Amino acid sequence: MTAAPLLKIEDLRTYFYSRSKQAFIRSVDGVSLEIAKGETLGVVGESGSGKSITALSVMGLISGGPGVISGKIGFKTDSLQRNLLHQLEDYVTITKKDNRIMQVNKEEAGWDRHTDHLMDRIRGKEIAMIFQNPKSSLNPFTPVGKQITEAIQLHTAVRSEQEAKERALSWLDRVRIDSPRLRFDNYPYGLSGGMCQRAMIAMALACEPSLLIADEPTTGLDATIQSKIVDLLAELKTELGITTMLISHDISIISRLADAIAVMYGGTVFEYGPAKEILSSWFTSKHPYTTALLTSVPSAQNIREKGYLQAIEGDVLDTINIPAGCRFYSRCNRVTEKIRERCERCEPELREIVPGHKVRCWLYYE
Amino acid sequence: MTETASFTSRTLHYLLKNRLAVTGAVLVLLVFILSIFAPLFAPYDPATIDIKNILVGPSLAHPLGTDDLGRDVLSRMLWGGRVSLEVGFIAVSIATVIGILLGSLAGYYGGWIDSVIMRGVDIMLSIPTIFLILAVIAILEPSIINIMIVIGLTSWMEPARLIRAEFISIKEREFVTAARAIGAGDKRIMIRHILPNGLSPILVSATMGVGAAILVESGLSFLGLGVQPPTPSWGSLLSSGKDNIEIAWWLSAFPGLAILLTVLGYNLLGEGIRDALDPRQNE
Repeated sequence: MTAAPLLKIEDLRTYFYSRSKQAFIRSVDGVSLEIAKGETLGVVGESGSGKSITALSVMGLISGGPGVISGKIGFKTDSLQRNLLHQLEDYVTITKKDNRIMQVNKEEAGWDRHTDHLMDRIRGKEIAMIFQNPKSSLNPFTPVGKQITEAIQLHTAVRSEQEAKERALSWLDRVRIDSPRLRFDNYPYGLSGGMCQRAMIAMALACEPSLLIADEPTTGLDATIQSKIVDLLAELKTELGITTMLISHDISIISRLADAIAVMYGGTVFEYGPAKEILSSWFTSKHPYTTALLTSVPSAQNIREKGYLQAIEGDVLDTINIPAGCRFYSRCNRVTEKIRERCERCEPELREIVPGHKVRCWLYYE
Repeated sequence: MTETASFTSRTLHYLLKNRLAVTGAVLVLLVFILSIFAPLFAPYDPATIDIKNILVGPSLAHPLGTDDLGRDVLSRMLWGGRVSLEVGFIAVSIATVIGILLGSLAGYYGGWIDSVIMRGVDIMLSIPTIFLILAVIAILEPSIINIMIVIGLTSWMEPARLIRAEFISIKEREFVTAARAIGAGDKRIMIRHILPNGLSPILVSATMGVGAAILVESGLSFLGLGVQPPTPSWGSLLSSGKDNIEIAWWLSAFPGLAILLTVLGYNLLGEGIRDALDPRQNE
């Protein structure tokens, strides 16, 4: 990773409180990630691993308490440098016991106001986001084109209605919506899911953000449309060179677009490194979870070799009762007698095993 | 109906299929047109006194008869309809605007803002409205403007509750998060994103509210606290007709019928809109 990171998340913690269980749901529990300028970072993991919550935390869009409680989110462009969680500690008091967070008091209203202030001119302008369900992410009562025009008027120097409309049309054209002039006045229900997602992408890119966060951009669509949206994202990536944080549980989408990959599990990052190393078969020092995740992809090769689809045994980690040891311990199939005790008792650190490649596993501690 | 049919045309389609709603719409429209064009339709000036033709029953010259001063009842009713509709619409507008304003703030921000506003609603709802109106009108002078304002100020609670409920549910929807992510501020999200999506229940309540306001105005005028003579309104016509009800039934019957049909019309139309907006209709 040569270029300075555009986004650097350090030890981010986002918790929610479950009233019925009287305990914290540790959705994001110490995530550290970096995205270099111009790079696409693929964030992969099962549902509930904290991918989306990480993204929403970056956007400052977490609602429900206590939300983001600690960490640093450094955001740096040519013209702007800011910690998006600046002065968070003024609003949060954490009570710890045995190094575990027992109680959190957060002045939520004050923090919400402070976030809105910190994120002013960043949301939509510097960081844009596209969501899972394109149809429900567009305002049903406003024509699609109008929504893009508004975003342009909100964030760029373009003020005149006509000029903003022209620009919106050119973006609709750029995301390959056919006859953009006709689609411009359509309401979201008049468009297919795939078209809505194209419109969402156009809206996100129309203000030329420095960072695009795509949260499962293809999940709500059917398979054929999925691959077309991935094609579009790939095209836009080469065309615009935009920095992207791509979140997906589908490793095949990640493998097509990502330069670097972060594998998330139970609210933390298990592995972080260049995509070609993580996806390759020759790089063997991978986290057991990553290996399991890769072999569970229904690819022709996997099926030919094994004759069946490999699944990861066990359930997704319960983020309320996080075990003291490795979060993957109960499902891991590569625990050796030598390290078993450590796996069970202590959580490993995210450790650099080769330059630029970090893994959180006791296997790689000599 | 295809899925791509627009919201408005789909609602209209269901509305037109509903016979009662169409009846309501026709009644509403009829009263509306007759009242707006009262100067064209009215055969006589509503205030011209004709001593020679006092208390004449319905005839060709006076289709709905004349009153105790020889004024043409039809003409007075047409002009009176204007007053009634004016009161209905303006009172409902005032109530709806206040309701939307307070309801949106309560629903969007929640917390103490919500508590304060909703306790205000509870207090207003615990006072019998008609007595409050009577008391206020008794202190102020009874004029059309005062009546409209007072009715408006005592009927904003229902729209406020409806809008609050809509805001609470819509603000959790995905497109609101998406709007936030694009950088829209609170004001923009409330006005451009949540409000248009939450207006349909208000449409129903406002439609029925017009009928209710007309009824309140008629009641006040009947009690002599409403529109003051010589300005005609349906309530005051009804009231002045009661003195001669034994010899001139038409003085009370026609204004009463007008009130009945108009309020019925607004209620049927309101019910119709409610049904048309109900997604379960869309089989």
